[in-house]
Amino acid sequence: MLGIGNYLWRLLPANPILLRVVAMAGRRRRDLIFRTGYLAVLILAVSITIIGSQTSGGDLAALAKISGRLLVNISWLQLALVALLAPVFMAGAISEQRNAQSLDLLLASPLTNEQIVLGGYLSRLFFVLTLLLSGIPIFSITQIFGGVAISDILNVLWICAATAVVCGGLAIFMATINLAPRSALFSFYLLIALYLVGGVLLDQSSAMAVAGEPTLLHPQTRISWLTGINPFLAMRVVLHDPLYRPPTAAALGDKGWLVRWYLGSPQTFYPVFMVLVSALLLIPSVLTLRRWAQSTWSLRGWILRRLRLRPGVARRKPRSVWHNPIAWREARTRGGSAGSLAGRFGFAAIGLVLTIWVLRGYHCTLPMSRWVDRFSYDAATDSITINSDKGIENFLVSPHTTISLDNRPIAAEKLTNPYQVLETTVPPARRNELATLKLSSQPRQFSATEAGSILALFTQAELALVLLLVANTAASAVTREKEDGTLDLLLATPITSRYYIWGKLRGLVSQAAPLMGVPVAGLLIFLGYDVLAHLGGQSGPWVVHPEALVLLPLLLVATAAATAMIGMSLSLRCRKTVVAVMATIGLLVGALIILGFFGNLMLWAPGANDTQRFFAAFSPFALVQLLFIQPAGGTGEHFSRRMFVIVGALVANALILAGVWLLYRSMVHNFDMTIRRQSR
Amino acid sequence: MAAVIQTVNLTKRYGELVALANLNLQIAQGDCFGFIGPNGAGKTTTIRILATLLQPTWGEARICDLVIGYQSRQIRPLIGYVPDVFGAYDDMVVLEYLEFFAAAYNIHGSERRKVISDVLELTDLGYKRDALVDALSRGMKQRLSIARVLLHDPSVLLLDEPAGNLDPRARIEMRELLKELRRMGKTIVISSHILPELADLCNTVGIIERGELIYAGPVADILQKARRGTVVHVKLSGLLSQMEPAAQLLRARPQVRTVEVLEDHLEVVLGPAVEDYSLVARWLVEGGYDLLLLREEEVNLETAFMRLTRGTVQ
Repeated sequence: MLGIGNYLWRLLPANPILLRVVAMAGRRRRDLIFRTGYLAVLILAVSITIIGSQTSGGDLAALAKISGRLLVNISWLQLALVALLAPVFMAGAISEQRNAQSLDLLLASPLTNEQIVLGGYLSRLFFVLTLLLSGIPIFSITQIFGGVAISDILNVLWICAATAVVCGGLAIFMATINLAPRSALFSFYLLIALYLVGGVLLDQSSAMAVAGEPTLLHPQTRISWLTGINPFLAMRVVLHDPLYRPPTAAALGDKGWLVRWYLGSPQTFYPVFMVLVSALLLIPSVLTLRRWAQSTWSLRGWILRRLRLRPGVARRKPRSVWHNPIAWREARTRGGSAGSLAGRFGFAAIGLVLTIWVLRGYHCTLPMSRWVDRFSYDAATDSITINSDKGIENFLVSPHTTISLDNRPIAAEKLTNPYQVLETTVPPARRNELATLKLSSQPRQFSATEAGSILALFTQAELALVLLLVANTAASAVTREKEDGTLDLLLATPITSRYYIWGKLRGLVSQAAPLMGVPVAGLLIFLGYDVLAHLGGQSGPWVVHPEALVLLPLLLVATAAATAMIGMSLSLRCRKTVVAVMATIGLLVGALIILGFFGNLMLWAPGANDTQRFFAAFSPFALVQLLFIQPAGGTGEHFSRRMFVIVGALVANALILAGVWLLYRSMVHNFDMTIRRQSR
Repeated sequence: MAAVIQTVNLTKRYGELVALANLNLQIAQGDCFGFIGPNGAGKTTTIRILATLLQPTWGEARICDLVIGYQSRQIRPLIGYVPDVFGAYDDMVVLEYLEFFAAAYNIHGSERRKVISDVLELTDLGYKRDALVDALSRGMKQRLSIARVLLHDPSVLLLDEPAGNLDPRARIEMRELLKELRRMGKTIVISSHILPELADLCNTVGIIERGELIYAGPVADILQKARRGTVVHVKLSGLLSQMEPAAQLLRARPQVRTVEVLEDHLEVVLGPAVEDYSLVARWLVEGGYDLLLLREEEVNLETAFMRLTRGTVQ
């Protein structure tokens, strides 16, 4: 009994790895800055919410309303901060694993696998959990105003904590099993981003929807099959989103207890499930830590060998070095490795396959129950034949007959394609004469709007991936050379800072250009299709606005250049690759979240006007939506909206590129000084 | 001969730590200057300043009359720097590695091919031109480093521990290569802990400790400086208890400065005027002692280093 007690004591409270971190927690300046910044952001959000509420102090109902709003704002902010910070801090487990010497010291000590794994896990979790705990006094403000249940606050905290817990579990798992050590950090961020963002995006799909509990105001509510496993979706339930309600117990009566819990109470399922997932990730880490440490196997190496992409010999034919060796190194050596090439080709292949899948859906027409085609109108008799499953109907066309196609008037002789008949009306007196004929384009598997929406989604995902890849490559561009000692060799040559940075940028562009080509190729495919279709006499809306041909590449180049410059700038300032990558990706994700939030706010605000669309174009993801998704409204309105979007996009990208230029100038100017300051 | 490398009161501070204090050096054209000192003495700092990688806090350093910091861009083509760690680019073969640095020195086209071919021949790496740099042995990597710094034919070579961590064979090969470079007229600054090799290779040395230059000059001079007069080691036949009376006998002689009784022999230091140490043998034989061994102490760079430094920096 004493033995078990001693084991448990040494496992957690007296775990030396955990104790070291806890003892240092109060002394580290970086932690203090993070904690202060975190609380400052929360306090700012509280202040803005209270000031923006504009209510008289005595009204209890009004105070409860402020309290509810406070809970919503702080909860979203807290979850966003945790989703941003937890991966950054948990990634430390992976970076430490890369420093094999410190891990070797631990492995050579009498510490057990459990002590090492749990010590590493909890010491990283400790920081995020203390952040959450430090935010509790801010939540308690809601209790002063009233109107917020303590259970809601606890649910919010559980969801945030569970998100950190699962991030930590994944980081430790990846660190232990030596998953592609060179790119483990990037893979980790990518997985977390896919899980968080992908869940929210897939939630929109009708295939995932589960009917929710109807209310008087909103008879149609929903959640999705992903609500119980995504923190942002579970948070919507906790915060009582009126359109996002789980089904009632009665509606789930015939389901098993697990499904009833999963769908009926996703906000309580999420934390429990994530803790279990985390435990499942930790158990193999504990069991195999020393075995993996002794192993030379790596998943990446295994895949490359399987694909016969690694020659396995110490010799190969030399390649020719470019005039600018820095650019050559960046593009050919780093970007030309088998893994990198496989990744890029894979990315391009998946992107094109998905685009072709959407195009096929857009191209394939659905059968119509009533339709007209180019043979329907007979000018000689001034009559129209309407085909249907049941047979044909003939109508006379008079000068009073109104024919419309997709809500736009069209002359009978211009009916050149098959169109679906939506509605026909005849005057009461003359039954064989048409009064109105409402037509729509032939229905397809994907309508133009649907195809545009799906394409926009793919383009957004591709943009996010390209930016993450550029951030990862740029952030490690200089630090890797610092770490392996090659930077000193270069600095002792006549290469100037301008030449060096320009070479790096050129190399990065060479690496990123094929990736950026994927969404542009998708765009070209659809534009080409629409052009050919219109030349062939088809009418109807375009999937992609033609101006996207200029604006999308501009957006890709500007955002990728900005990401590359930020990454390189941090790479120059940081001594270690891990820190530079973490900082760059953290900054990028933070900026994208803020810009995305701002863009969506502008785009989807009730009664959004042209000015708002102009500013929405400043958000890369909102701009993609604006370029691909057809707005409702008349032709004139379309033109005005598109002009505002075009101008907004041009201004935004010009500003980004100006920022890139300034950053480049500043980097060139401060390069020697920054490098020398770090020299030892 | 005119000084190719000159430092005047060269000082480098890292916060409170003084890495280099008022270093004054003069290294002439064609010299091979060995930089000796304990770990953390300031050797690497000096070499990094000379390689234009560090800015001095105070003082001035010149290479070929060009001032480091102000004319670094003109200095870089004149120097070749080999750091104490091999900077290996992953996924590059030997030829690419050399082409890469040749391009960095603005050597292009046919000139590049010829230069690379020459340095590969000189460093005997021609048969490794297609080999991945990462897969080379440590000795090969160091030879590749030397090949790299010879690409642009610099007049000054700055070598920081080029033989560190090399096996004996690689060390000998490296020493022969450096001798060849010296014969080619290069001015070489080399730091190393392997002092016998420096003595064999260098004509001048500098001893540095805690950032201060203790001595700089020809190797012969430092050996002379380190001498404590003529030091003779004497081993007597018979019981060890005879050593103390024998020491007393020698101490009575005015030509003898000190006599120390060591574990199994005596260490006799003669006065500066005494050249013929056979006197010691005569005195002992006359005193009735039988000698097993009489040997003059050899002063080499290692003993000179140990005597001149305090050994406090590690």
